[in-house]
Amino acid sequence: MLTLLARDLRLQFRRGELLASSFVMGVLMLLAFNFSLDLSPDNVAALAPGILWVAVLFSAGLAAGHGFVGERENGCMDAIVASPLDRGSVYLAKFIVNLLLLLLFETMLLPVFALFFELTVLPVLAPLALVLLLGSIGLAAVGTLFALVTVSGGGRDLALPILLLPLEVPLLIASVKITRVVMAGGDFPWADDWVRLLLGFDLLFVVAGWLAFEYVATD
Amino acid sequence: MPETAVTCRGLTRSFGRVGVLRGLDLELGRGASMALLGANGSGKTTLLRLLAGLLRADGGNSTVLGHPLPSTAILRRKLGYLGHESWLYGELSARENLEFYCRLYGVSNDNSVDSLLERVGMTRAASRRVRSFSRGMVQRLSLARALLHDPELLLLDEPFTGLDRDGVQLLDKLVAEQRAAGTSILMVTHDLARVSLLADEAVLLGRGRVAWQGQGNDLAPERLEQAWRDTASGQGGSAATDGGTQTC
Repeated sequence: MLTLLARDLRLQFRRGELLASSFVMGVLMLLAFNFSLDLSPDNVAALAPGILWVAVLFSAGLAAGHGFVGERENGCMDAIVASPLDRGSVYLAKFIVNLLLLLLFETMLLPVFALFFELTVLPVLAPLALVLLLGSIGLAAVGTLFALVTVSGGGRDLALPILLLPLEVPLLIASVKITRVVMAGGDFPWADDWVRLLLGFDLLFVVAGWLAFEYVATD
Repeated sequence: MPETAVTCRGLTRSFGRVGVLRGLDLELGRGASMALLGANGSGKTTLLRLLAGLLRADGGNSTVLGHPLPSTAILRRKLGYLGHESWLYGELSARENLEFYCRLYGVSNDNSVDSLLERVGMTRAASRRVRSFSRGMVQRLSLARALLHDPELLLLDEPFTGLDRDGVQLLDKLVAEQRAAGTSILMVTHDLARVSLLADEAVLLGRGRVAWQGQGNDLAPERLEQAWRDTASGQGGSAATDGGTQTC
C-alpha cells in the first residue's frame, strides 16, 4: 500500500495539474459568489459555510477524476489489479492520496475564502479544520470508489459528476450545518445529529469502497 | 506441485448478451508453451485476462498453478502478463517503472532492475520517461516488467506487436530462456510462422471454445493455416491436419 501511495503522490506532484486546476476552480467559484451575492456583515455568516462547501464539493469531484490519472494511461489499472497487492489496500491507498490532496487544496483555499468574505477564521480554526477533515473523508471515500467505476467502465470524467453529486447531498448538508455552528464561534457540536450523519457517511463509504473494490475492478 | 499449469473446464464468460467464452476446456502442462490462435473476438484475450485475475468467469472451473480462480494474491505473484497495453507509467522513467513493479511484487531491487534493462537492451534509455519511447521500446520494457518477478506462468498477448527485427529476435531469445527455465507459457499470436519456434502445442479458438488443437508437425505454418481456414469456414473433421484434432 505504501508503494502505491508513494508512487501516486510522486505522480500527482510531478504533474501538478490536479492541485492547480482544483485551486483555480475553487477560487473562481468563491469569486463568482462574492460578486453575485449581496453580502453584508449580517448575512455573511449564514451564507459563507454553504459557499465554502460548494467550492470544496465541486473541486473534490474534479480531484476524484484525477486520482486515477496514472492508471488511466496504458492500462495501468490492470497492472495494479493483477499485482499481488491486496485489492482492498489498493482502494485505501487511492483514498488516502485523494484525501491528502483534498486537504492540501482546502489549506490553500481557506485563506482566500477568509479574504474574499472578510471572515476571521483563526479563532475557529481547530473546529473548522475538523469539519473540513470529516467532510473531506466522505468526499474522498465516495469519490475514489466512483472514480474507479468510471475508470473501469471507460466512462471517463463525464459520468463521474452524475454519479457523485446526488450521493454527496447528505454530506454537503451536514457539513454546511456543522460549519455554520463552528463559524458562529461555538465548540465542535459532537452531540449534534449532523455530526453523526457525517461520521456515518464517512464510515459507510470507506468500508463500502474497501469491500467493493475487488468486484468493481474485475468486472 | 500440480502437473498442469492451467486447467479450464466449461469456462464461460459473456459481455452483456455476447458470449465470448462458451464452455471452454483447456489444459496447459507445467513447463509447456502453448500458442493460442484464433480470429478476432474468438476469446483469446478474454481467456488470458481471466487467468490473470483481471476478469471473473461467469461459469465453469479453472485452476492456475494449482490455485482455483478467482485468483489470490499468492497466485498473482506467480503470473507474468504482457497484454495489448504496456502497463507502464508515461510520467516515470524506465528505471522508475521497473523499481515500482519490483516493490509491488516484493522483488529485491539490488541488481534486478539493471540486469533486466540490460536483458531487454534498454540500459541507455533507463533514465528517460516512458512517454518519450517508441512503440518497440515500450514493448521491450513491458516485457522486462512481465519478467521481473520470475513468473511461473507467462501470459503473452500478441507480444510481437510493435517490435522491429532486433526486438523480435530478442523476444524469441527471452521466450526460449523462459522455456528452458521451466516457465509455463500461454501466448496469443497471429504470427503462424513463429508458433513452431516458440510453442510445444497450439490451440485454435473458435466461437469461444477450442476448435482445433495440435502439436509437433501440426505446428508447421501451412498446417496451422489450413486449420485456421477450416475453423473460420466452420468445416468439421480433420482433413486438414494429420495429427491435429478438430474439436468442434
